[in-house]
Amino acid sequence: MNSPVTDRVNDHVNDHVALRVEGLSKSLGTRRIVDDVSFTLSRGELITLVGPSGCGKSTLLRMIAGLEPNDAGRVFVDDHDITSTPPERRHIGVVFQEGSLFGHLRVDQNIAFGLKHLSRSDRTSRVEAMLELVQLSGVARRFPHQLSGGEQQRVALARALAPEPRLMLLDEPFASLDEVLRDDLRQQVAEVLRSTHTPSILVTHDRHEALTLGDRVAVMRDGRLQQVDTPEVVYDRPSNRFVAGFVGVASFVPVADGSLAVVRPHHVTLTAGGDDRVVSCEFAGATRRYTVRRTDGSTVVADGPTAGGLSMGDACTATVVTDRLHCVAVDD
Amino acid sequence: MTVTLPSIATRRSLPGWATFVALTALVASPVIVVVSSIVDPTESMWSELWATRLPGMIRDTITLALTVVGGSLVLGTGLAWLVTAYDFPARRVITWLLVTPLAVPGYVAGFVWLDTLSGPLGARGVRSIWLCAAALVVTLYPYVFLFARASFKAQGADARDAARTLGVGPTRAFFRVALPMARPALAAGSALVLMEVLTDIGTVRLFNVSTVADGVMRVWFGTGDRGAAAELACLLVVSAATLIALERGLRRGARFSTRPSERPSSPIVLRRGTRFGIVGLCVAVIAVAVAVPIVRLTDWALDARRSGNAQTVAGGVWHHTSSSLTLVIATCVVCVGGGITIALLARRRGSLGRLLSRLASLGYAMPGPVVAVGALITLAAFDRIGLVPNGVVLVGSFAGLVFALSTRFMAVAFQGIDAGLDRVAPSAVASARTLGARASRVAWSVELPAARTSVVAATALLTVDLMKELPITLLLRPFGFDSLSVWVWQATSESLWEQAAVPSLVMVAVGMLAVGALLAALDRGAEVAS
Amino acid sequence: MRSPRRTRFGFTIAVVLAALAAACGGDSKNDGASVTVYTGRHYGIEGVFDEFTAATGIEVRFTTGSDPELRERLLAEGDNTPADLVMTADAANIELAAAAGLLASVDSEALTAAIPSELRSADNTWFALSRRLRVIMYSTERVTEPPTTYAALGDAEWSGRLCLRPSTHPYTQSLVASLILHLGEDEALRVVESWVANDPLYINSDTDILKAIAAGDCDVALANTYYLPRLLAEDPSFPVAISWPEQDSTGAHLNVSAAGITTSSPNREAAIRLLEWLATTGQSTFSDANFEYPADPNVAPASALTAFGGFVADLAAVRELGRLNPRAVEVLSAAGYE
Repeated sequence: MNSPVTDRVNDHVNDHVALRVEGLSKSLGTRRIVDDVSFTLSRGELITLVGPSGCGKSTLLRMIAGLEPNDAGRVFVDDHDITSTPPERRHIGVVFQEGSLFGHLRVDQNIAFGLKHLSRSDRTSRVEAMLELVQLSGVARRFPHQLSGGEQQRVALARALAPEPRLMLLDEPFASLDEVLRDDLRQQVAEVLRSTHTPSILVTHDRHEALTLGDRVAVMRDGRLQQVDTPEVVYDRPSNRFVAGFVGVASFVPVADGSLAVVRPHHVTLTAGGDDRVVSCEFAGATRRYTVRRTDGSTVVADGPTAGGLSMGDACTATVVTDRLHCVAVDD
Repeated sequence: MTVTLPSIATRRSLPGWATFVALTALVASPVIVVVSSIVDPTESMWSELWATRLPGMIRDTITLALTVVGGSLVLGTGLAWLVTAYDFPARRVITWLLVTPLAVPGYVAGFVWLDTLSGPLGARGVRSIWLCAAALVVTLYPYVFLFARASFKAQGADARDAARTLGVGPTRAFFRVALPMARPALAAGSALVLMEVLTDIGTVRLFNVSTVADGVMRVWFGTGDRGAAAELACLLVVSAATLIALERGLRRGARFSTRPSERPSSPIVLRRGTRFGIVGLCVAVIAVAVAVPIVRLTDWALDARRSGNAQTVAGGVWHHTSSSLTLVIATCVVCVGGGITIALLARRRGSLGRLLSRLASLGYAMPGPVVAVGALITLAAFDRIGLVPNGVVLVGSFAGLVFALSTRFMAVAFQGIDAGLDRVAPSAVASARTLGARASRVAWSVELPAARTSVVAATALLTVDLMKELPITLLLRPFGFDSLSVWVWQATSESLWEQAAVPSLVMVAVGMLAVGALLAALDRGAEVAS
Repeated sequence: MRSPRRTRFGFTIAVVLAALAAACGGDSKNDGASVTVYTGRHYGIEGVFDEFTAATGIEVRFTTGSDPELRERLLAEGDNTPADLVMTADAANIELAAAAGLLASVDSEALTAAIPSELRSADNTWFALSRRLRVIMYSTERVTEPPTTYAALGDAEWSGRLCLRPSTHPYTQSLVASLILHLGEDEALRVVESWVANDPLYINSDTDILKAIAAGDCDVALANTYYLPRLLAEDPSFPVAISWPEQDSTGAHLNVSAAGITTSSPNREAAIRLLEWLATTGQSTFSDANFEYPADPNVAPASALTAFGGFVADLAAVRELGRLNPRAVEVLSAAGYE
């Protein structure tokens, strides 16, 4: 498929940045919903934007799409300032959480909605191609309410991709789907986005989703970006205590210089007998997850084998492999 | 968004069915009585009618219905869009005022417009079907406005946002997304307008437009032929029902709103110039639809005061107002009670129940005077068989009047409450049943509280309708019971417009308050739903 | 927070239902010295009844409505009717009530003495109480030679200058019924067609018809006489005058306000007293309240009417108006009269 991105790469040979956000801010009353956010998105890249509910990630997305006015800052797409461009002229595709399909239109009419500029035959072939891309060729003439939730979201994706947008924004597209469907669809969507080389931002509150899908992960809290990095860096070298806790299971152990060591379960070895106590344990398939209270008062989380493991209240020794630990500041 | 109740094991209990059928039959009885007089069709009357007036009546009825429904759609939908999509000063007050034409009775608006326009246009020029249509549009468009506004609000921002990210500007997004998605609501509003136009007699007569409804009155009271009049009235009802069914059929499989939107649409803040443009437009409509009637009526009221004959026709304002209010309250209680009962019983009885419940709405699709005579015959029959003991006579009693009014306006309560019950989550009902609650307790403690705002809205709409009601009250009121509408009739039947001004103003004032309550209830209902 | 509100709602319902039940039981049939009247003629009627009550001590309760609707009510109520006296604003409607068997014959010397035989039914089921004349009205500003016959309103001269009341109104129907009686159905149809050919302006109110003449919307019209004095009282220079029609032939079309006692009258004695009072002592009050001419030729009309002068009225048609009403409706319809 012809990607518009590659075309534009030829126009701006030196520029590999698809989206640049500079100091974007928005307040509601005295509350800062989005607070001085800056980052860039490269061509063909997929950034997952993750954070707790109400942290401003959806608002940030809507400002990029032009659906929400911003108080300060600027947005560039392909180096053009689009801050005051209305959404219909930004060429940015958006997939909403759910229910944004047009209930009065059939699936094919939904997908063709943004293709008014094409000739009838071009439109038809484009709709067919999109349906094939999201593997829904059989349901073209159905109405949205006759589809399952997962199918609806694939139609929404096809509809947003059909006009070949410069970039795609996906606002928690899987939030309302059940787990099994979600895993499948997640993979499918990522493949489609990569196959079309569409630079994308996917908003989620699910850290697993964020880490597995994104080329880079952006973690947001209280309107501020905390860290934008590859999943590995965000997981292993979180910029602060919040990021560390948000992207994975972490225990925090005070170290000599007054900072906190980020202890992941795989940093801990657990042996039976000793002065530490198992506070809780839960079955997690191949392993068991233990919470252990140590003699120095700190608590760590560790994984152990399912068979012949410890039980709650058992005495044990939790040894932290300290040499590889990443430290964060106590505050925040 | 229709949610049908899951078939939670409801026993097809005999008492339930009996109550349901008896209640619907009672409400439908006046219409049934009228319709049953068709048993032997009067052929000579028909051939005579076909040869003379009927083709013209049908033509004028269709012209009027199309123009008024079309005009109301444009005005009602356009204004509803302006007040939901854009933000401007005094938006709430303007919204309220835009609904208040509902409070002005058609026969009052009619004579106000006739008198106002006959100045510049002359007595001959003013009596035209187009001006009649215009007068009806400015009084009836609020029905479309209310439904369209509710729909636009419920649509929320998601679909429209999606349209904009697909390269469609706000104006085209309105026509390509918001408008088609509002279609069921627009159809519902138009259906009400259509009913009002088809059954209107007061306004069309003032403007010399001869519609089928007017024909019903001509045939009935001109020749005393009740059978032929009933046939004509049925022609009206059947054509209205066909139109509404046709529109539903055309919608086919499309569903218009999968669920209420998460994100309420935040009104667009506009530039200064555009803002004043919109406010100006709304104010212009309000000036025409509300201010002109009120100013004219006030003018007449002052005239009557000056010439000192304000009291000739009737006694004190308070006597009439309290009569009207008593009647409104009593009828509201009966209609809301009956509406709740029918709605609850119907939805436990499947499609047959739904069909039967439609019967209870028939009275609303007939011209008022026809229902009045139907109710009169029904009540007189009850009296003859001595339904109420101790020589109490229903005809001309307060209870009889309330019954007659309820048979016509039950539909308003039933439809509103039924729609409210649609919003009750089936899972809430199911969980109440699994917690051991009987159907009646579920109704009282789960379904009704959830439909509470619909009950308030239905009551408010009933109040507006009942304040204006004339033909039934006129025919069946007890001795010495004079409502505001009867006062207006007594004055206007003698062409004493000045003396009709004070009661008209009181009616409008009460109606405006009720309209405010209606809006508040609808908005609260929308919040509960989302 | 929810449950007290619900309780209050339930309480409100209970109270209102109780009030309803009380209201239900409140209206049983009245007895004693009182009369119940259904009246289609309502202008100033309250004062007339008050005067009767003051003179006799008999209470009058009444309900107003249109003649046909009150007739439907009487028909539906049958033997149960509380009505003692029926009063209409039109001869045809009282005759239709009599023909439906709703009115009982009254044998009263006072009534037969006061009301001329042409103005009461042959079997004395109804009695006229006042005379209402439907005449030609014209603009004193623009018309110098007003028409003097009903047929003359169809002259081409009056094309686009004529105001009429729609055919739905009994006054129009009764006038055409009298034309049928005097001219025969074919000729009556021709006359009505000639009016229609003049493209009349139809206005469903005599007062508004007279105002339309004054405003210049038409020059000649048909209207009942008593509307003119009302307007002249407000504006003595109101530019409309009466042209008494058919003075050399049948006389001006005469209609009546009339009343009769119902077949099932619960208070027949008192009702007859009221009827007799209206036909005798109360004649002036009854007629003058609305500037109508008294039914009793020996009672002088209101002083405001003397300026209109004397006239010949069409007494012969009054009792035929009811019988001919359906044919009048047909003629109007066939002629294309609105």
